[in-house]
Amino acid sequence: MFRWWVAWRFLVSEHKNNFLTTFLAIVGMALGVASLVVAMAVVSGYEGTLKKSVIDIFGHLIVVKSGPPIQDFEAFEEKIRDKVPGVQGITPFLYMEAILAHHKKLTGVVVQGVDPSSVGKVLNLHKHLVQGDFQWGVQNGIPVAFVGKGLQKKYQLKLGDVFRVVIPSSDPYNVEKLRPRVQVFRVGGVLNFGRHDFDSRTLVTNLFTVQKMAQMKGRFVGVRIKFEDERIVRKAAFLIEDLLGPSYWTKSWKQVNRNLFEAVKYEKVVIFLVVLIIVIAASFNISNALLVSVLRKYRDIGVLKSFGGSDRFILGIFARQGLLVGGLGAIMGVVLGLLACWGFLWAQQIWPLIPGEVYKIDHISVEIRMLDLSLILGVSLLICFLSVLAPARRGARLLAVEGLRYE
Amino acid sequence: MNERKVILKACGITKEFVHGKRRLEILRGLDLTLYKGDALCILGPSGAGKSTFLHILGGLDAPTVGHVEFYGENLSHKASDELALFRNRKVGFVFQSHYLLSEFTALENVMIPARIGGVSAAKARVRAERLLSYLGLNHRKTHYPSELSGGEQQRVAVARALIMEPELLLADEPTGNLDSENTQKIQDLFFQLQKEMDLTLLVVTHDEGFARRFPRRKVMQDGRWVNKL
Repeated sequence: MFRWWVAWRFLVSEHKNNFLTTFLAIVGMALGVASLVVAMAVVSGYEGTLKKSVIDIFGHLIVVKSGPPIQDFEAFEEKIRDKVPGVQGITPFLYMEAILAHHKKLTGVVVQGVDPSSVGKVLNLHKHLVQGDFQWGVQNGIPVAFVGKGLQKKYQLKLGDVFRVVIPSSDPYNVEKLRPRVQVFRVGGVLNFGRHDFDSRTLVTNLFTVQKMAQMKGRFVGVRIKFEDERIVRKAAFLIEDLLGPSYWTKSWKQVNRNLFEAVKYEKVVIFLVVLIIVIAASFNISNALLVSVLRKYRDIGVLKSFGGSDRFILGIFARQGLLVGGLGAIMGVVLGLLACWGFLWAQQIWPLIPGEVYKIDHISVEIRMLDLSLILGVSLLICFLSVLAPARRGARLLAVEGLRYE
Repeated sequence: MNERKVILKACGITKEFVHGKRRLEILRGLDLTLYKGDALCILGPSGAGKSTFLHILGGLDAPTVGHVEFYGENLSHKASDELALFRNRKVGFVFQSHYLLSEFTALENVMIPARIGGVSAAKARVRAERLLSYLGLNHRKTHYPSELSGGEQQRVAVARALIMEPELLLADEPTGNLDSENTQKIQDLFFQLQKEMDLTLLVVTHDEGFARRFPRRKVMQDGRWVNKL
């Protein structure tokens, strides 16, 4: 504590002689750390939004059966709920690939069949519905489908429009002979999944309709599960695989979107390192301010050494002085960064800063994570510590007698 | 035969400085023996090498040739940390300019050597307050050096030198910057302390009047002992 005390008194006395250099060093560090806080909060916000939207449309886990499809959903659900704890909801699904044919344009699409009675407990499609409302039934004899935003744009589809989907199935008696079937849908709504690949290929409709299209009445290929706590997903997947046997496989939302989240993680690291350059530059300011302080305190160093201060003692004092400057700057930077994040969120509510029609998102989410803040503070202080070592060593190596001679 | 214990012994101390291509010999083979309880004054004109010699005796500087023994222990054999410990525990320094740290109050300045030596803040404070009271400065303990008179500053510096209860007090022109009244007071203080605290006192000065008050005197000129100035 004594060294911290001396370091603090030396630092406070700087206001008389070395104020501007020290002040600039603190401000530089604060700006660098604030930039890091904002950058990390934005990337974490993006990651969080992405994660939420993925879980909204995928659930936590899918369980798919290879070979013949599953028949009795109630029995299947009960089996899982009995053995796997923490299940919030289970919903069956069936999907098939088809071709959307409308206005002389063709697009390969995935027709997703969902069970209207249970889908709400697992997926959060409401949040992604940008037009229409969820009426899953049949309108004027035509089943309702919800199209991805990209498809709607491409085909200029409006609510109530009718379009055709071609299912390229084969002849039951001659598998080499194609016997395509056609299904007509009415646009019941438009879904914005927030991802181009989903928006441009997905059609969501009633499970019953897809079962009919695929000639799989009452059957489904798998279920989507949502858990009360996403941390148990991995453990639950093992339990389910053990429970159901080798003809079933599972995939978590993380596994399905691994590349995407890996890319975000990688981007986060790169952004952190790039913005960290500001902190490194700021640490040179601290190093410089400390060097000035050491030079001004030559005589005091001599006096401290005369009364028993060892080289390590002097090094400790000036390293602490530098760390105090860096620490003050870092704390101010965190506060400044948090204020900037808060101000940005507030400004987004008042003014449309991000035009949704230009960018894919109409607002930037900001997420402050304690882990990010701790990492920023830790790395900043480490850089600061390394940068103050050189001037502190210079002070420590000074011979007592040289310090006393210094005028 | 003198049976007094030798506290400090300097053997053949030579100190050279290299200035550009020139080699300057400041001290030329000085010997000195200091006994416990001694009060010795080294008198000499400015530039004679007195301060350099004092720094070498106190372990602040190393001789080019020769060595210093403290109770028979060669200071040249000590590592940097050991020398720092030696200065903290065994020696007290008083300089011509008080060299008090301007950021600290009188009390804090006195506490510093004790805190460096690992004494707790509470104990160091008690010791420092006792010393300041003894030197008549209790009412000035919360004042910063810039708020003290020259005499008071030097008394605080004396208190700082004494807080670790050293056996040897080394003073370099302790009255050099003081007016005649304060000079007298500080001189009296040194002799009082030497008597009351059983200190070994070595004072460097160019003030012949001050030197005459010492029972032992050595005269230095051009880095050598001489009989008289």
